[in-house]
Amino acid sequence: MSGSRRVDEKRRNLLKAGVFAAGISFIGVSRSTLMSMLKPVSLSEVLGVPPRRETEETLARKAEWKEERIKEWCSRKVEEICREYGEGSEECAEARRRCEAVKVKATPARQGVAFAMALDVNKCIGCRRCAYACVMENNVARNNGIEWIKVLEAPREGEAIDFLHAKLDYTDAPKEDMVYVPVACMHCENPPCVMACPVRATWREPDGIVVVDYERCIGCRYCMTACPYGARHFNWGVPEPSVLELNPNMHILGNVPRQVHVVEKCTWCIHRTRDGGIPACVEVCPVGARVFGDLNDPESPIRRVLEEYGAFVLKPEAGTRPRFFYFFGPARTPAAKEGGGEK
Amino acid sequence: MVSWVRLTVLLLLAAALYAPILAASSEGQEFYPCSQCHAALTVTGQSRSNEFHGIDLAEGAHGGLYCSNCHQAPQVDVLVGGVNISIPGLHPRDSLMDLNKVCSTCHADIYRDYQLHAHGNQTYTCSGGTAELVEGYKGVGYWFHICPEYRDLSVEPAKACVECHNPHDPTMPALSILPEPSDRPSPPDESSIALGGVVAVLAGLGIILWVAPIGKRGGEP
Amino acid sequence: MSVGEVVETVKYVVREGLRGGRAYYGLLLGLLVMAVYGVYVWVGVQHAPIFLRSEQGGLVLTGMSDSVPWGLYISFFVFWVGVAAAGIMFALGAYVFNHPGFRKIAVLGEVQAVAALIVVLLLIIADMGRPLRAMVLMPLLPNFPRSMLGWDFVVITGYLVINLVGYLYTVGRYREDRSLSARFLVPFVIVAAPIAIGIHTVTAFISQALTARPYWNTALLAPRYVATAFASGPALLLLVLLLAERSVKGFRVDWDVYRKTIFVTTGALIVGLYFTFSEVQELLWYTTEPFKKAQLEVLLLGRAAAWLSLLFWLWIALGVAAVILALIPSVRSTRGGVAFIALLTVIAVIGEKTLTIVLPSYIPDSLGQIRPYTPTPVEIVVTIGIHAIGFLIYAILAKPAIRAIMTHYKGASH
Repeated sequence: MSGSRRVDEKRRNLLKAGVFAAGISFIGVSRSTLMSMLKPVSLSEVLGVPPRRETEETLARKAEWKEERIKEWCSRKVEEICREYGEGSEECAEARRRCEAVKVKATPARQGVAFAMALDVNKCIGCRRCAYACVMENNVARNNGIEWIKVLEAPREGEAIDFLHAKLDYTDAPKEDMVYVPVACMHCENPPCVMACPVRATWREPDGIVVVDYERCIGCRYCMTACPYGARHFNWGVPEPSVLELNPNMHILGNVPRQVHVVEKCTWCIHRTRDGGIPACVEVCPVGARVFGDLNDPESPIRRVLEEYGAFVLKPEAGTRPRFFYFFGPARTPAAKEGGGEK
Repeated sequence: MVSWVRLTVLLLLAAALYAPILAASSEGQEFYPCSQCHAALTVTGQSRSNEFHGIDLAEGAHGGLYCSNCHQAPQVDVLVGGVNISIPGLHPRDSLMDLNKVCSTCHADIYRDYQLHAHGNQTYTCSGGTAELVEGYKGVGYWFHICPEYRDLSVEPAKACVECHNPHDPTMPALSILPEPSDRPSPPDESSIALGGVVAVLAGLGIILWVAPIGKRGGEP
Repeated sequence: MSVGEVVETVKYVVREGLRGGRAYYGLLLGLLVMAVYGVYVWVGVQHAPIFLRSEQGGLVLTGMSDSVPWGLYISFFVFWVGVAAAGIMFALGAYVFNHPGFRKIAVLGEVQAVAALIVVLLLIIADMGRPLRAMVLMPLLPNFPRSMLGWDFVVITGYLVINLVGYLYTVGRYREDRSLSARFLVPFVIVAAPIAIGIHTVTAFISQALTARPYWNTALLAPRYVATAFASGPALLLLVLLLAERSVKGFRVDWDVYRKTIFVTTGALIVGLYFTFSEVQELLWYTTEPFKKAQLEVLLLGRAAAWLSLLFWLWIALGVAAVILALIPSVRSTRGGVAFIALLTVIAVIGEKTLTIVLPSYIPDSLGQIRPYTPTPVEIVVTIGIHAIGFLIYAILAKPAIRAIMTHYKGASH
């Protein structure tokens, strides 16, 4: 009897103390701060411990949370820029406009969609426009030197792409005896990186896009070791995205600005393709070497090229079953080298 | 970037076709309708070159064709199938799209690719959206799509055949190569850390060896 | 053992571990200096963006890149996992084969395993981009059966716990001059032995199933890891035993322990060398795998990183030398000879199992590009600091253990 009374007393004291503390903190904290603290975001989400499978709802909430964070960061940057260039300057207005336009979406995968991309090796001229468009579109931090698309220049002879004699740092293209093979994430059906990740920070979405949760990645780089295509990139330094070049169209699993020490990779411009657009690399390709579409849609471009020209994948022996195909399209007419003083 | 490509191709095309005329007029916008001259001029079906327009079908990927393969002889100011001549940069895209019919008569297969957006002619649009050029990473320009919501985007053909291919010399002009790829920045100078490390190791080993020469450490039992 | 006894034992370990003569304090202080500097460089420089929210620093201070995502830390991680695994050899000699000499010093094998595992965990944490997130997420094992790193986490922490338990139990019994009971030892060995082999096997499994890295993609990798582990681990313990004999008055180790251990390390070395030989044959003769060949050429011929192949040839040269010396009776029957053989063995296995087993699989990288890797001062300093912590723990745990052994065996030499 006396024991239980003691417990009761203890509990009462605890309650009293709790109410008292709450009162003090309520007086100390302004109402708006308190309201923002009461946003329906659980600690686990902030810590990056979401449920095993993101539901649409948790993802949307996370996108909302992330948008707030980005806007906070962004407005700080805007102030800096406005101080540096002057309040009335073009840069200040531009930065402010971009910040306000920031939209972090969480568009879920559409039912029955299976994205795929194909690249015409006969057409590619190795100009690297896709690689740089990708950097701009995906808010890749310029200071970390990350480029998701790498363009390999490989000898044309031989039936397979000879990686060992391929070059990345060519300065003149296209050459007659070379093929150009842009490589980025293959969005494998059987992705070794997803298998390797110890914390499920990366997974394959129902529409075939392999994504990374930047809030969850622990930076162990096992996925980079497991990837046969060198498609994964690490933020070795603190990323410093430029507000003046910020792409306001963002997806929580795609091109939101990254943090230090997390892995990132191509997402087939998830912020565009999930909403009916096409990836930036496809749009920007000056020779139309890239084709993107839904494998399940008989009218899609990807079906057309796969049915018409057939396709191959890189490193089939790795057993990854890439969804990125290469094909030899209609015989290419080599670009005329003279007379093209074009930039 | 795309716009530069497009713009240059357009300019080249316009220049090739209209150089003499444009040279005569002080302003580019003022040009003569084709029919103004071609009402009086006639060309035989055997013709392959035109000095006035600087066209020579002996060369290029369309080498071997005759003017009359695409132009309705003898007047030539209308194309086969009754399509009117349109010039990129001077005529709106809708009329340029009409010209695709001429191309498709021979290139049916590629035209099917084109129709299915498998020939590098896609872009996306959104209602109320624009595109703006920003010069960014490594000085490369990029067109950002600016949309109010970024939802419900739709893919549409971006270009007509003649916007990329000069019909008289359809091989695409060579394009510039953008700068070499980069990798992570190289580590900064760490000599102070190295120095600190040497000092720490020397101090640590020094203490160990100074106080306790190996082998004579008289640890208590 | 009751909870009270465990607490008493822990108190004993702390008391004995932190008490000693001037020389012992000198050792601890020296190691502490290196450890503190290493931890400072890790927390305050390399991981400053994580811990101090700094805009400067980050893993960009290391030599690693997207092409070579694992470097010095993971290389030494592999080595120390091997050393930890081999601690079980002494437990097997003691409790399975019931050798009295091994029974006496088996607890030092556990000390070595604990110290090595702490080095292992610290190296992983130093390498990990976001250690705080990892500490929250890894114990939840979100991708457990699939990700080998999850397995590695389980076996390494499991083996650490087992060794700590074994250590505390042995010290707790010996210090009261009680012998170990079979009721503890039988389950202990049954659990510990497979996990000991398991930690190194899993470490190899992390890499050997990756088709992305042809140099690792061989079923021989796990056996190779385990083979050389059984050379380096016991050899290191022999060095420690010799040192303890010279520095702790009255502590003697049965000569038979040295003799038998040298047999084991030599046998393991021969197997390890043989595995290397077999790998080289596979890669250099008829292989149709150009990537694998290119990576091996980097290792053997020093393309792109000459020091890497130097390490490899060091393994061959010192490994062969240690085997030959161990076969000469006059060398292996003196304490000095044993020390020399053990030293050669440890250095040879460092040559085999650190950078030479990690780096070639990244050079050339998965797109065939060569981006050589050189450790930067930050990496080296942090690695030294972590090793200093490891040796510090080794010393602090070994001293009470030796004292407890001497209590139980009354300083008598068996």
